[in-house]
Amino acid sequence: MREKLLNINELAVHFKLEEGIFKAVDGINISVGKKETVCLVGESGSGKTLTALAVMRLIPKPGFIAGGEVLFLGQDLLKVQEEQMREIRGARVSMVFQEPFTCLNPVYTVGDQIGESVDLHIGLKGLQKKTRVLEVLQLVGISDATRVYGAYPHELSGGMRQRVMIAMGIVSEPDLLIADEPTTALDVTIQAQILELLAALKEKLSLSILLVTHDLGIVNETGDRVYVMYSGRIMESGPKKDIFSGTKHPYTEGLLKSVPDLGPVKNRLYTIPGSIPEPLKVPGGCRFHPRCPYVMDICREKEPAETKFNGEHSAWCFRYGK
Amino acid sequence: MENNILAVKNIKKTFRTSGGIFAAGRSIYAVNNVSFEIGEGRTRGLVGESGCGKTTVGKIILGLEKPDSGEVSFNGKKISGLAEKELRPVRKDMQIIFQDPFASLNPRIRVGNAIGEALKIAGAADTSSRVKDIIKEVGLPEDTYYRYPHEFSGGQRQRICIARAIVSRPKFVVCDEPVSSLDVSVQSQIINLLKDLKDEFRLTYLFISHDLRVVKNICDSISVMYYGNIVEEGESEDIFAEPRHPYTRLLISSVPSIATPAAGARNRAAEAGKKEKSAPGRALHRNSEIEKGCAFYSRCLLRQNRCAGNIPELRDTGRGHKAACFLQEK
Repeated sequence: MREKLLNINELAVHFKLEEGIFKAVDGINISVGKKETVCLVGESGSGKTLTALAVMRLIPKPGFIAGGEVLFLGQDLLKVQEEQMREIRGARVSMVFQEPFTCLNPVYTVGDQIGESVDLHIGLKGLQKKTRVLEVLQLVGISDATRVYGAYPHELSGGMRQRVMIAMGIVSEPDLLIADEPTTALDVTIQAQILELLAALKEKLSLSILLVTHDLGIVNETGDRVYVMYSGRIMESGPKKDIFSGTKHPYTEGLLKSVPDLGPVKNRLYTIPGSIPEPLKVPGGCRFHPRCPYVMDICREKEPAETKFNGEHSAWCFRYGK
Repeated sequence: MENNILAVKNIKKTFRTSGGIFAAGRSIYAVNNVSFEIGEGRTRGLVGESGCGKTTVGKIILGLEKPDSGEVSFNGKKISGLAEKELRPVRKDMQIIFQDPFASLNPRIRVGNAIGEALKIAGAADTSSRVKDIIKEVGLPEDTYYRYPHEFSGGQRQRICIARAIVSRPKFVVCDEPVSSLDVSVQSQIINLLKDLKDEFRLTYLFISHDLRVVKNICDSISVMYYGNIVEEGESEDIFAEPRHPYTRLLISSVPSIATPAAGARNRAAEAGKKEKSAPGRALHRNSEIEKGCAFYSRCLLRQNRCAGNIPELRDTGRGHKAACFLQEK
């Protein structure tokens, strides 16, 4: 087994609402190895983004981290002082968000914004700082780096902005890059370029990537290992090959069957009946049971435990064990 | 051949940009000489990336946007250029489903009234029974009639929008990215619903989307748009099996797929498109005043000298499969 860079253990993120406590992330375990791309896949509301934000300790109020640990190189990020966290955040672990339009400050130039990170995390100033920023802009595939350096975000296209965001994320040479739906707002051809860029950077910088996405196609093309999340819980996890060709969990199976793909056209697409549970109405037992085609009595009563298959492949389902 | 319910002929639409305080505005082609027909009961996909003009085409067809030139005929009758009053009876037969079901429903109007509005405008007296029928038809609970939009999830709202579009029994529906804001497991439900309704109500769709995976699963024929021009069109299977235009190949090869490496169409396209995948980012909007050469020229890696100065025409390469590329000419 590879050495792990990040170990998330029994992480729980809760929201205090008037009507009660919403367990958005309800005790999950995720690990990311060195130079590994791990995909966290799920539908909206499954808690995948909150998991990513919890690693950065950026959970928005009224949410809070209710338990568990986030071990980064053996150190629990949930226990370090905020001051120390600030040194880790952006320097050792950085994050790229979905909307490159809202995440850049419109009144500063690209050079200023990336430069700020260089200044804070590497301590370079003046000309050295500028050289470093230009270097990283070239690294993310921007050929006219000098122009982009002095440009404001509104002068750039969506794909360019996302490249700038990635540049900002990697300028401090982090160990782990968390990318939350980095290509969802982009056109397919640009998406393909950004995914290629991430794969290239992973090799060049020995980067580990935690990629949050809802698109199984992206998972198939970029991931090494996959976690399938549903309503705050992991349903299945394992190497990509096992998830796609040795699918165990009914939810994964349903997802794979229902996505329209470029393969042979089916007259009707498979559908998972129903919809994802509402925040405060998460069903008891296995939370997927109301939508599961194989539901048994026990699924309504108890939550399934992990069943391990070959290697790192696991599923949480009573069809395979307790 | 079946009857063409809709024909679009040489439509053009330019928008003027404001050039700032001192500079003159530029005019930009949103739609440049687009023509196609849709046979009754068929689904035509209009595919392209954001900004290619696909939504503008949809709006022009529905009379929500006026073309600079060209014409739209519906059921053999020219409808472009008609006055609002004359258009009204035609409107009943043409509807639209928008992308964002959160933005396209009025939060203060009960769902039943929102759906019934189209009927009232068309002059129907008793709408409630027909609205209730349609609510059942699209798979919503019966009490939907009296509830407000915020009580529904994204997928259910899209069902409401679909109900609203088909309640007046239209013949033709423009679906503008109807599933792109929905979750994967809900997407397939809505796609199936659209297919069922099409069979049941004998509908004809213009399906506008950027997602080739969805388009492949719902459309009979496809037009690929690039910066206001149709660069390729044909039967869906032909286009996916043998894309002719470099841009179509680029699009298909860019789609992340769950198919294992052995699977067919995509990989053949990927093979053909391998070079194109690393093509430069994106072209700038073309200035209509310096209109010359192929629109895809700046991104195309197979470009030749003649592509810069001449505009390739859509040419039939067999079975109605057309491409606008000089490389297709012998």
